[in-house]
Amino acid sequence: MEYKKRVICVWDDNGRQYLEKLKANAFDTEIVDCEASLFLNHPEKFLPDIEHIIAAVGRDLILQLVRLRDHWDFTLAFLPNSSQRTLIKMMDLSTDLDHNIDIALRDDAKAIDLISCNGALVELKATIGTIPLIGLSGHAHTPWEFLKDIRLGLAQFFKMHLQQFEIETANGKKIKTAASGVFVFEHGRQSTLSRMMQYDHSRRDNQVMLIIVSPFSVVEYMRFLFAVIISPGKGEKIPDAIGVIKSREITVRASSSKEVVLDERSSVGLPVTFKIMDQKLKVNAGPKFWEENSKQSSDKETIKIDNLPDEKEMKRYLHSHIPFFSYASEDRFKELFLSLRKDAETNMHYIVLMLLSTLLATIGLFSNSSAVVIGAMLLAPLMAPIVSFAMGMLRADERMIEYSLMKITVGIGLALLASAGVALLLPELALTDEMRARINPNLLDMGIAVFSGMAAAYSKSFKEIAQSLAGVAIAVALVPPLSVAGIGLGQGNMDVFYGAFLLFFTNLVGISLAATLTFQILGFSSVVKSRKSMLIVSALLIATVFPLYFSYRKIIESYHLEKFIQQSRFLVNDKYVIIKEVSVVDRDDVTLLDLTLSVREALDRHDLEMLKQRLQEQVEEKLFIRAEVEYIL
Amino acid sequence: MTDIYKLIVLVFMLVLTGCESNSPIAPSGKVIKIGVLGPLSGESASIGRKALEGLQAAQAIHPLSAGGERIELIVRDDESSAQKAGELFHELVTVEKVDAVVLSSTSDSVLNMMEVINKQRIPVIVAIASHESITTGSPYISRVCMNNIQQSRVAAYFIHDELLLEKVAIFYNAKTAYSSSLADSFKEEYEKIGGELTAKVTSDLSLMALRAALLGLKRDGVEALYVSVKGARSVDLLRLRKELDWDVVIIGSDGMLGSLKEHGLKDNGSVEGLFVMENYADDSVATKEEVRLKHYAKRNKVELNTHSLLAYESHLLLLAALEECSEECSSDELNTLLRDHKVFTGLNDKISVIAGEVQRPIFINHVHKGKMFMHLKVY
Repeated sequence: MEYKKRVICVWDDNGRQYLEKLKANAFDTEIVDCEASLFLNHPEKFLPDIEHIIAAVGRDLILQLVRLRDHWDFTLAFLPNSSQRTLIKMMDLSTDLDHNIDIALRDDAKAIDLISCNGALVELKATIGTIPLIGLSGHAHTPWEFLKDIRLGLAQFFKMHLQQFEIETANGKKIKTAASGVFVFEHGRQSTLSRMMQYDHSRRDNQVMLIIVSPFSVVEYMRFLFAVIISPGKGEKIPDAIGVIKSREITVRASSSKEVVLDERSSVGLPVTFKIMDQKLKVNAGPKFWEENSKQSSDKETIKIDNLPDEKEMKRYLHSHIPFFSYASEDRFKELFLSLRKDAETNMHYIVLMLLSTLLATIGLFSNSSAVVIGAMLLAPLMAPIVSFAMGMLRADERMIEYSLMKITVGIGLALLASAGVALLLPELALTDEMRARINPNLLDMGIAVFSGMAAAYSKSFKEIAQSLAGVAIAVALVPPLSVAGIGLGQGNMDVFYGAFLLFFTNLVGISLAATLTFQILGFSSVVKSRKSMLIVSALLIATVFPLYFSYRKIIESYHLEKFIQQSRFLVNDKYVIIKEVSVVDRDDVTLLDLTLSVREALDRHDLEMLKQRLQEQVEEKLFIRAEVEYIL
Repeated sequence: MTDIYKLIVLVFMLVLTGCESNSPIAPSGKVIKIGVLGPLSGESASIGRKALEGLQAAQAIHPLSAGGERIELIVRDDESSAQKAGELFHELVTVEKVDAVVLSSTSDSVLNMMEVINKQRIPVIVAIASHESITTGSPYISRVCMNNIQQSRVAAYFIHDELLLEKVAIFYNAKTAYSSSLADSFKEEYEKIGGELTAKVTSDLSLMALRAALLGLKRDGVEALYVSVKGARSVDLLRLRKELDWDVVIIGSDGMLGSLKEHGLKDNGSVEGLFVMENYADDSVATKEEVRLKHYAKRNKVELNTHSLLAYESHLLLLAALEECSEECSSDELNTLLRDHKVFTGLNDKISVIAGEVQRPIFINHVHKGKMFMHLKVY
C-alpha cells in the first residue's frame, strides 16, 4: 500500500487532539497543519503544493472544504471524532484513530459523485413533499432526538397527501404521477434510506437516483416501512408504494410543494434540477465503502414506475389526505371482482346445492348425526354470496349488493321451506341435541361469525389459500341453523324458529361486517366512500348484538349458577346430599335444574322439599328442579 | 341551561337520591348496654382480642339499633379463666346492668358459666364456643358459629363420601371439651356411615411420643387425619408431617388455620393443601355487609380473622332481634327473638337461628398460599 508523502491536516477545536498522533504516523508522511478558518481564508498558501487534505473538522467545515473543489484540485480524507457517526458510517471509518489515520494517509483516493440541486450541493438528502420516518438515523444523535424524530414522523402520517409530480430525465423522458413525496439521497451506509435503496445504487455510477413515494393509504405506507426495516437486501422487489428513476439529470415539478428541503437545513424553490456535478471529488474511504460503490459510470437511464398511478388514474388519487386504508381500482383486482360478481348471481347450481344441503342438514339434525350435519355445512353454498355482499357494501356496488342479497334471500327461503317441509312430513320426531345446540345463540357465536368472516374474505382474496374456505364453512355453519329454524316453523315451535334464526342472522351479520372490514384492510375499498353501506352493516350489527348480549349474560349467569350448585352440599334432615351433576336450562322466566344426587339414605318427599327450599333460598330465579338420585352403597 | 337540561339534571339527582337506601337512623337517646366477655389475656387471649376487634368494628359501623338506641359495649377480660368468667358475668349483669352479653370465650369457659347464665336469665350470644351442649343446656343462649356436631358430621361425610378415604385417624386434645367433643362426634358420625376409625391420637404426648405415634399411623397406611387440636400442638403436627414426608390428607376443625398462624406457623408450604371446616371462606362472594367491614378494616388497619367475623355477626344478630323487639323490649322478648330468628343477613350468607342454634352453611375450605378457598359449601 502506497502512502502520501506530504499532506495538510485542517483542524478545528475538536480535531486538534489528533494532530500529535497523526504527526507521529508510521508511514513517514510529512504532516502540515492549519486551523480550519485560516485555511479556508487562504487556501492558496497551501494548495496546490499539497494535494491531499485530511479534514479533522465538523460537518459544516467539511462542506466548505468540498466546495473548494470548484477552484482547486485535491483529494480529501477524514479524521472524524466519535460524535460524527454519520460520517463514520458513510465512509466506512471507525472510532479507532490509528485505523482512520491509516486510511487517511493512503494514496488511493477515488472519485465519487456529487449531486447538485439547482447548483447547491446535496450533502445527504433532498426531499420534496411528505415522507414520514424515512432517513431518521442520519440526524438524531441522542435517543431523545431519535424519539422526537419518530414523534414528528408519526404526526406526518396523517398529513400525507398525494400531489402531482412532473419529472423529466436527461434523455427527455417525461413522467407524470401522484406521490406524497420524492427524494434524492447520497449513499449513507446502514441508514433506513440505504437499506431501502439497495436497488443497484452506487455513488460512482454517474447517476442521480430519485425515489418516488406514492402510497395509496397509511396502511400501505406502514407496510412499506415495515418491509424496509425487516427485509433489506439487494435485488429485492421494489415495494408497491415506490418508484425509482435514475438519470444523469432529473428535473422535478410538484403541484403543491413549493420547495425542496436539503439535508433538513436549507431549501431551494421548485422546480429543481438534480444533476451529477462535473467536478468529481476524490476521497479516501474504508474498504466496504468501495465494495458497495464499485459500479462504474453508466449513461443508461432506469425508470421503474409500474407501481405508481399513471396519468389516467392520477386524478382519482389526488385527495386532501391519504386514507388510512387502501383503495383499489377494479383494474388492479379484476379477477377477484369478476369472481365475486359471479358468486353474487343466482343460478341453478346454487338452488340445487342449497336444497340438497338443507335436506341433508335437516335429516342429519333429526338423526342427531354430527357427521351428516358437517357434510351439509361443506355442501352449503351460502358463504359465497355473503362474501360478495360484503364486498358490494364496501365498494358501494349496488349491483353486487342487489344480486347477492337476492341470492341470500332465495337461499334462506329455500332452506326454510325445505326443512319446514321435512318437519311437516315427520311430525312425530322430537328435537335432538344437535338442534338444541342451535337455538341459544350468544355473543360467542358472534365471535365465531366475525373470525369466520375475516377468514372467508382473506381466503377469497388470495387464490393460493382458497381451499381454506371449507374450514370456514364448517366453523360458521350457515345451513344447519336455517334448517333448525325451518324445523321450528314446520313444527309450529316459534321459540325454536326464533333462536335458530337469530343464530343464522348472527352469522350473516358477523360474516358480512368482518368480511367488509377485512377487504378494507386488504386494500379493496373503492375510491368512492361507502359510509352508507358501513352504516347499514353497523345498524344490523347493533340490532343483532343486543339479543345476543342478553343471551350471553344468561349463559354466564347459568354458568355461575351451575358452578355454585356443583360446589354445594346439603344436610337435609341429617342426610348428606351430594350434587354430582348439574345442568341449568333457561326457559322463559324459569330456570330448570337437572340434578344428579348422590346419597346414602333414601330421600322422602319431605327431604326433597327441604332440599328444594334450601336451593331456592340461594338464588333469585324461580327454580324448577328435576333430580335423579343415586345411592352410595 | 335550557328547561329540558334542567329537567334531566333534576331527574338524575332524584334517581341518585333514590339509590341511597340507607337513610340515617335518628338517635333516640336510649342506650343498650351490651356486655362483652372473653379472654383478652392469658392462654386464649388471641381469640378474645380478635373477637373484640370484630365487635368494635360492628359498633363503629352500626352504632345505633333500628330504633335509634345507642349500642354501648362494656368489655371485661376473663383472663382465659373459666372461674373468672363466671364472676365477671355476674358483675356485668348485677352491677353494670347490661341488657345482653356477647361471649367470646371458648367452649370450656362457657360450659363452666352455664349455671350463672341460667341463674341470671339474661340473653347471651355465644360467638365462638361450638360445643353442642351450650345451646341445649341453656334457654338463654343463642349461637352464631356452627356447632361441633354439625361440623364433625360434615367432616365425616366429606372424608368418607367425597374424598373416598377409608383409613382415618383423629388427632385431638382430650383435655378440652371443644376438642374431645369434636373427636367423639366425628367418630360417631364416621362409624355411622360405615367408616372405621384406625386410631385416636391425643395431643398431650411428648414430641418424641407424638412423632412415634404419627410414624405408626403412616406405617398403617392412614390416609386422612381429622384434627380438632388448636395451638402449638397443631403446629408440631404439621412440622412432623413434613419431617416424616407423610402425604396424609388433613382435615382441620374451625379456626385451625388462624390458630396455626397465631402460633408461629408462617410457612405457607406447611399448610398448603389442608382442608379446614369453617364458617367463612376467603373467596366467598362478599355481601354489602362484608364490603363495609373490609373498608373499616382497611381504614383502621385492623386484621380480622374468623373470630372477629363471628363476633361481628353476633352484633348483627343482636341488631336484627332489636329491630323486631317491641318498644319496651324486655329481656325475655329479646331472648326469644335471638333464639328463634328466622333470617338475617350475615357477612357471607343468610343466617337463621332456631332454638338458639345457628343454621348457616359450613364451608369446607382448601388452603392455598395461606388462604382459605371454598372447596364445598354445605347448607
